[in-house]
Amino acid sequence: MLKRLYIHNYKCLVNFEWRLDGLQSSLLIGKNGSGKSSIADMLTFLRDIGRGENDVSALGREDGFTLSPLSLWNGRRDSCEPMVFELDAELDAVLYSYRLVLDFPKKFQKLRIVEERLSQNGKPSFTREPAKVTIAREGQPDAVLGHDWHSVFLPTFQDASQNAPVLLFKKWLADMVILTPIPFLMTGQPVDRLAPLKRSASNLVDWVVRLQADSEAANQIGDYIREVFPDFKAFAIRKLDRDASYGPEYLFLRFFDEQTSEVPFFLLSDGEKCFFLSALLRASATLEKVSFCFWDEPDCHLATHEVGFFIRALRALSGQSILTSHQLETVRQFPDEATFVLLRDTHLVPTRPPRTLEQLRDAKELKGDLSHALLTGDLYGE
Amino acid sequence: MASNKFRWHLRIFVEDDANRQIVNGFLESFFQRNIPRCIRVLQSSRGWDSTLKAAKQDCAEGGSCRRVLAVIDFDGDANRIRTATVKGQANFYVVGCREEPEKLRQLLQRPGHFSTLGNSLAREYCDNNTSLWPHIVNKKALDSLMQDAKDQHIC
Repeated sequence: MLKRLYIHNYKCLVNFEWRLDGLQSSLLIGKNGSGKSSIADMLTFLRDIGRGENDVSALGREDGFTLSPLSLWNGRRDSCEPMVFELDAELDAVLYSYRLVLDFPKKFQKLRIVEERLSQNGKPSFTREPAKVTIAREGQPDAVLGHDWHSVFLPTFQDASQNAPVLLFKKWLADMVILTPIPFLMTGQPVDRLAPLKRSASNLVDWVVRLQADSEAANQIGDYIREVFPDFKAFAIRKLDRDASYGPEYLFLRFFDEQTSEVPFFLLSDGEKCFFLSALLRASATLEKVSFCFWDEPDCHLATHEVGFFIRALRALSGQSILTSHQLETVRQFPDEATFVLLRDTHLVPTRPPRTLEQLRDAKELKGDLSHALLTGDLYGE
Repeated sequence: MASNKFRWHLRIFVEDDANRQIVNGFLESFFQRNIPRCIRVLQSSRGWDSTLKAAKQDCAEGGSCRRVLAVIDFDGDANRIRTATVKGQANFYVVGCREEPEKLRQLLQRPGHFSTLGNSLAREYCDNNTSLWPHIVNKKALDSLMQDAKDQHIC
């Protein structure tokens, strides 16, 4: 379970610490430009590291963006301040703390790693200065080796212990589902059946292919879809022409009982595609295939009367979930102590550390009705 | 089960943010986080009287499958308790804190949130424990609604 995030000098997040204190489900709110999606960026970089990407300039590339030096706070090359990412996660009663520090010295073309560290329950597994890595070994002297300063060390690091706890941490990072869905890009065609789900969910059908091999998952997906579409019967991946022996395959959804009532996935509306995505996510989480999900604005394509149900279902995920939103109905599904507000006054100042609605109420900075404060912008100091 | 106005469904009108969190906490605990789609929580108006008015109107317009529960603060006002809980409309129920949710929250063993107050109320409801429920007005209405929901296999 994710316990803490620390981000320094990445976009508008400067000395930004977020403690989740064991919350299974939490919500981030804030006006546009307050840094909600930047947190998703940071998690994407760490997810890619977990998946084995060690080239610092390739982090995020699969999702169409990169960890650019321009991401430094205000993009200032003359700044001596490095960019810092820290993440604490508790898995099987072990607290993993990972820290990655990057800078951008003059005459460099890309970011350089100046510090990297992984510890378990406070005990270092490895530490790294720009090009020197020190690996702690139980009962033996530390191992020291050289490493390229543009290359992240964590993907290379292997733990010799029997239970492979570092592997567990890397797997947890790799399995994080981070979503900013773009339904327009969800074509309904499998592309690379082994590829992990992209942030845009454009390759969602690859996920369907993997999940449908498990009949229990397929049944659960069907059950979840029927909550919204009672006439839904089944889904299948097949060629456009049933009798064709070759040609591209597509995802079809069958409504009612007749085979002729099949609808290609790409004909669904944006909102309907999001319902399908949430059904996949819920089935995966129930079967413990997903333990952490960050979904940026899950409600933006949905009909108003569906938002509450949709968010309620995501809150009930078996794993940990973090959502962001601007919608009142979404905010109303969360208790004050699990709703974090990001406040940023202008483009010239960074985002302030997150505070819960409960903390804002206690400090009398939020008075009266939440809907009024949201609709007027009073909540964000407008 | 899909939300369908021709099937049994429940709309819960809450007076304010505190009651909304208590109700959500209650439902999450009672249904172990899988709240059925036939239950919807609404917060459309402010103040106990306008909440009651909106809830009664929604109930009157909703047909025989609709149940409406209004959750309001009674603020220790005996007159309000009499006015709000008077029997007169089928499928309409009212419950709420005898005083204010803030005061009830202080009764929790450790400083709690409104959502945890809702969780505790659900646990006590299931266990027939009566430390918090004496502070709730009209529990009988909730019992009756719960029995109705049980008859419909909702819980």
